[in-house]
Amino acid sequence: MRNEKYSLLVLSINKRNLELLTQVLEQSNYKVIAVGNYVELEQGLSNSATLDLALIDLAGCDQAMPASYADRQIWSYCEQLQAANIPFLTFTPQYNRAVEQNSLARGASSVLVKPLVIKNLLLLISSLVGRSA
Amino acid sequence: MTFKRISTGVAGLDEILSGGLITQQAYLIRGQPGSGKTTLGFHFLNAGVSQGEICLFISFSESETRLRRNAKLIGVNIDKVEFLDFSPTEDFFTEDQSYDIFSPAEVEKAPITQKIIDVIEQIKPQRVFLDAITQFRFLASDSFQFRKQIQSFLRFIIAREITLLLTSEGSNRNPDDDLQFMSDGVIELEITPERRNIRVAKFRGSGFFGGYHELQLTSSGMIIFPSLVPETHQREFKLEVISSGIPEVDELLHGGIERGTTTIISGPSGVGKSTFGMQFMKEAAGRGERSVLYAFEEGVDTIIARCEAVNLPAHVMIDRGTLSIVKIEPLDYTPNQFVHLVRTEVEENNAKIVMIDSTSGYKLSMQGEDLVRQLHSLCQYLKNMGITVILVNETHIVAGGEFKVTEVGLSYLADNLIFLRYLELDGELRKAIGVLKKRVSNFEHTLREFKITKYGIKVGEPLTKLRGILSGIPRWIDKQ
Repeated sequence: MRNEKYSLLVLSINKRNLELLTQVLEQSNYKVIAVGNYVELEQGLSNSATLDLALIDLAGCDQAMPASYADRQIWSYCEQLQAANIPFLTFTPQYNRAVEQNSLARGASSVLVKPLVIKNLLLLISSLVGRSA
Repeated sequence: MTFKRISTGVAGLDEILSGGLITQQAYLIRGQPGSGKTTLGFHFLNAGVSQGEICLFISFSESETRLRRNAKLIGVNIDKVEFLDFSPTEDFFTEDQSYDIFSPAEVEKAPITQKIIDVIEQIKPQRVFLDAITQFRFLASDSFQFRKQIQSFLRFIIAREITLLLTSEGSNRNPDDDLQFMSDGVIELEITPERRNIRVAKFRGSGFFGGYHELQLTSSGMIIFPSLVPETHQREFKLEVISSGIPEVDELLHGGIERGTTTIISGPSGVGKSTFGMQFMKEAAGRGERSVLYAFEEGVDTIIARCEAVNLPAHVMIDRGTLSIVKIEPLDYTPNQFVHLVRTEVEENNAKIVMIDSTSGYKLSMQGEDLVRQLHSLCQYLKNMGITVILVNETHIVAGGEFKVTEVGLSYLADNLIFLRYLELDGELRKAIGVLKKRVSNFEHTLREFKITKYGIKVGEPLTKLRGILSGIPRWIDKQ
């Protein structure tokens, strides 16, 4: 119940990943805005004032977008989050130093390597939203 | 304390397991893909359903529809078996249901476990077949968790008085020693280039027949041919003398051959060995006893025609059920399959005389296995069951030369050794019969002339005035 006031923006191109993340977060009573592409991401970011945290699954992000978004890169959205002072976490399929540097340089609170441990993820989210609140 | 046993649904396997599986235990069925694990599961569940038990199939690999179809194809009815289908649906591929955000252990374990618990509590099965338990390994974060989870699962199952069969595709690359350790029994299925085998490696609370036993997957399911262990078969019988029906032969044998003994009839081609063996079967038929002739060389029609031509009424005997002539194509049968045939005749049809014609044909069906060992085992079994065994053995020397009774070292198997031989006497080809060995009684140590006529076998008086009979070219002593 105590998490209901927090809104989390979740981006994943993988439909099942998005479903699972949403399910886990909703079970912990977070309000989830689930987005599966850049169109939905931009809509989600348009209400950035109400967002407490963003979770970005980086896998496949810049490859599976509509042609009109070909010039957009996930890093530009990360910069947008940083500019809006919204804490965010990025997820990557395997450890990659360049991805880690890019994420941290654009304000990511942490870069997590999948698969994630649900319990640890929830603890991390809880500490991040608590800090930002 | 005696445990309740249940059938596996495969007769040969029940025999290997000393009467079936002990209930409320967990058994691991190991084997590579295609070795028959799921087929064994079908039989196990079918056996339960036919006893009015509630049976459950938990599948992680194939869909319920496909499994029901596969069972139907081999004629095993699993219509009344309940299913819990965890196999991936086609959506997993078409709608890309793959994920990597969390480990399968975190995502799938809880719902799968809950579903299993719910179904088992709801339908209360007595038998569960889980195909394959190795899938559980992907639902555990590490081997310790896996082991703990399986142990807990087995306790849950056993506490509900369920007999559980679980399959595993354990291999050197994917060892399943932990599962073998945790199971109450381990049954291994093996495919070699020559044949399929089954072996019981572990059976808590029971003895079992160790070693490899032959297995066949047929269009009607799994058949297991247990390797013969003669000592485990015993039947009470009277050690009486069986007459040949020919007084002169009975004189040679001091009455005849004894029931429950092995007799080798040895001699060159065409000398009359098979006909002589049939003579004992004719006499047995007169007593109402059933005999079986396993013909490895000649066809049934040829044998019948030859018998009829020498006053051995094979047709009548067959019609009355006192004779069965079984043509064996040596390369179509393995030793254990042949043993299975013989055992069916002995144990179900009550045959009293078994004749193998000939040991050379039998040797062909050994497919590289040790002839003497296999034949010893079969003869020992038949003796223990009180069956009179006649082995027809062909020698290659027609006349003259070194006298040999058998050419494959079989003579030690024989309680009775009778030989037939060609003789050249006064420029004419004739035959003689003699006895070389008789374990139970004494015998006549002379040879007699042997003839096969249209009225039957004729045996003459002892050839006491001939010398050098075994040389093949004897001479009369009173003509000198």
